[in-house]
Amino acid sequence: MEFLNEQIDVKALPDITAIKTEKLSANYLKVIYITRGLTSLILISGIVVAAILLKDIPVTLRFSVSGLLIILFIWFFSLSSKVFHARSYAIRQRDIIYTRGLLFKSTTIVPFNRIQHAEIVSGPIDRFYNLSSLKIFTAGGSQSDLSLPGLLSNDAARIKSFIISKTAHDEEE
Amino acid sequence: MMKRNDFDFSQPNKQSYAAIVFLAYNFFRILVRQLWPVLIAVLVGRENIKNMLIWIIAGISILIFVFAVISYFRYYFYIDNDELVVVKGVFKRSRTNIPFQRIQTINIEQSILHQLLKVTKLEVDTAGSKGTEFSFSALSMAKAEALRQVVLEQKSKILPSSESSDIEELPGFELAPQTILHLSFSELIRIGATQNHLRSLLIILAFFMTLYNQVEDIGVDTDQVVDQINEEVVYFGKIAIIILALMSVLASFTFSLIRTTIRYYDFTLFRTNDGFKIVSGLFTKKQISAKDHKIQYISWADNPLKRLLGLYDVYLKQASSSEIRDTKSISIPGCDSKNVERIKSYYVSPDEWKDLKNFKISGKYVYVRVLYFGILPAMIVVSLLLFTDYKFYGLLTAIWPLLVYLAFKVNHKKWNFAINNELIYIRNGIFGNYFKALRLYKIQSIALRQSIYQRKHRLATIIIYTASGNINIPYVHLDLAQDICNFVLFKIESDKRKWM
Repeated sequence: MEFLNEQIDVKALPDITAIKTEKLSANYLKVIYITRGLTSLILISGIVVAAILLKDIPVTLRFSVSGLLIILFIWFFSLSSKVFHARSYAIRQRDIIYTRGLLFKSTTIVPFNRIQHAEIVSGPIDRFYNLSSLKIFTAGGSQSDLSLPGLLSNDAARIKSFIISKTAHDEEE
Repeated sequence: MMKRNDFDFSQPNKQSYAAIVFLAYNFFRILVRQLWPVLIAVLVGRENIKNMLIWIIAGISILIFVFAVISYFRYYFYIDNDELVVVKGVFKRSRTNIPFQRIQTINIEQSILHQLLKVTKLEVDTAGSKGTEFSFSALSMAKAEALRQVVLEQKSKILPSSESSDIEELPGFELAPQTILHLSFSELIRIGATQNHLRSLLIILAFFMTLYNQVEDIGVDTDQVVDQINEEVVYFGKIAIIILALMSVLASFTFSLIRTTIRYYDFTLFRTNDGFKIVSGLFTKKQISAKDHKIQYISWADNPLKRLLGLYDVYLKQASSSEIRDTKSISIPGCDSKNVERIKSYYVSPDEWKDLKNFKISGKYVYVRVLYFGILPAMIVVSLLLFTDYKFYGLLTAIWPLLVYLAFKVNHKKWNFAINNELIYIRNGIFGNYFKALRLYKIQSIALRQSIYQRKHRLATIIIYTASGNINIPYVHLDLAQDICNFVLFKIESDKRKWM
């Protein structure tokens, strides 16, 4: 293999920040409200029951800890809309970009020529709103796999077939 | 090549009869792990309980054997088109199809028992899955080799361009494997002596903790034992504590030595014409090979003890599924700097090290680490101590954040990364030094992560995903991080070389 070592002007390369990102489907916000609402509700009722039953632990400790936890879960629920607006994605010619996270904001970029396979997943609440998640798998292990939630089912299918045509195209080259 | 014709893999094949032994052994091991307190009860229990339990154990043993025989006869495999199919299960039948192109490595391994029974274990590993996809516990050596040949050959037919290097042992092309490194017994001792003894101590402690819990579970009055030990410690005072400390130092040291000997006995590193091969082990002779194109990145490391002797451990990180990554990555202990250079030169030619541009990480890294690992844990410990009579010890915990600060100050000073057109090179470490060298086109995907604090200061952590684990570069200035990201993506997307 010939070894090339040309100078590359880094500033002239395509820039991940110079793109217009797509928002997720508006219905997905409702899905976040429902799932976050249900989990907080279940956990809070669990904490309340535990706080009443665990009589061995001193009262002050018991109520302060459970109070803190309850506030934490209410906060967790109240962040729903912010969480939704923090998520966005973009598709470029050669890769897919997904941004998410409030406390930790992260932007993951998966090049099409490293994708092993793609999958469409849809839970019961998702199905009610006609939404799907697109899962993209690479050889980088579970942490690097990308899950793009809250896409309209049609869009998810279209993006998936686009990605697959791209990966197939890359192999032919 | 002729061997392949001796076996017809299109028809269902069974393992060697010796597999029954291994199946029974496996069932037995699972059972013993669950029930070993009962076994102790048999040894120390009263006569009538003892008799009853012995009958039960005998019954269970027979059941296990019957189970093993049945599962042996209900376990078979065959090759269907381009897939390896395995059907197994006594009650619940399962059928696993593995397309050849997903198979990463096929490893052959023999323990002493395997050697006695003249069979071998065969493990099939695929990328992306968790753990080893599956393993055959006992195949005859000839059959295992034949199966490996067939799979590798079929695989190279499907992917002719990229995987052609997978065809092994082409007569005439194979160079005799070159020995790069062989560890003599004295070198083995030196390696054992410079292991991380702290880790050994933790393993020993963990072992005693589980032992303690299990013994307590079967009803031995552990409180009484502990009380007695306490009394004796009080009686002998400081001497007892010193003896205990000396004993744990000695125990960790011995444990490190034994572990090293078992693992690296007769360790030999070979260079074949397209990769590396190691053979080592005292009880189980392990043979692992790493083809050049499967190596995702290399790393090498020392620690304070190793530095005294000028020794490094070198790791060849291979593409594999996440859970068995550690066992499949080749570790080469006890290399001197000359050996390190030599192994490195096989993976990256000296030319490719040129024009590396050096970068440091931000000093803010230290403050955040001290907050997470120093101040927060200390605060938790202090607030818990307030509920007890040991309030005084709260003062001592104040030293902890200071130690953490010093450690990460050193860490930050060492943190250094460099990039050129071909490579990313990373150096870090606290007490020791860790080095990594990664070819850009081996990267799978990349991410930038920012905490709220990092966003405020325009910093970001770069996470590089490879088929052999993640590499993080923390607290890089955002503009630089984005430039690196753009550059790496450009490299991945324009480089035509296959990452594997």
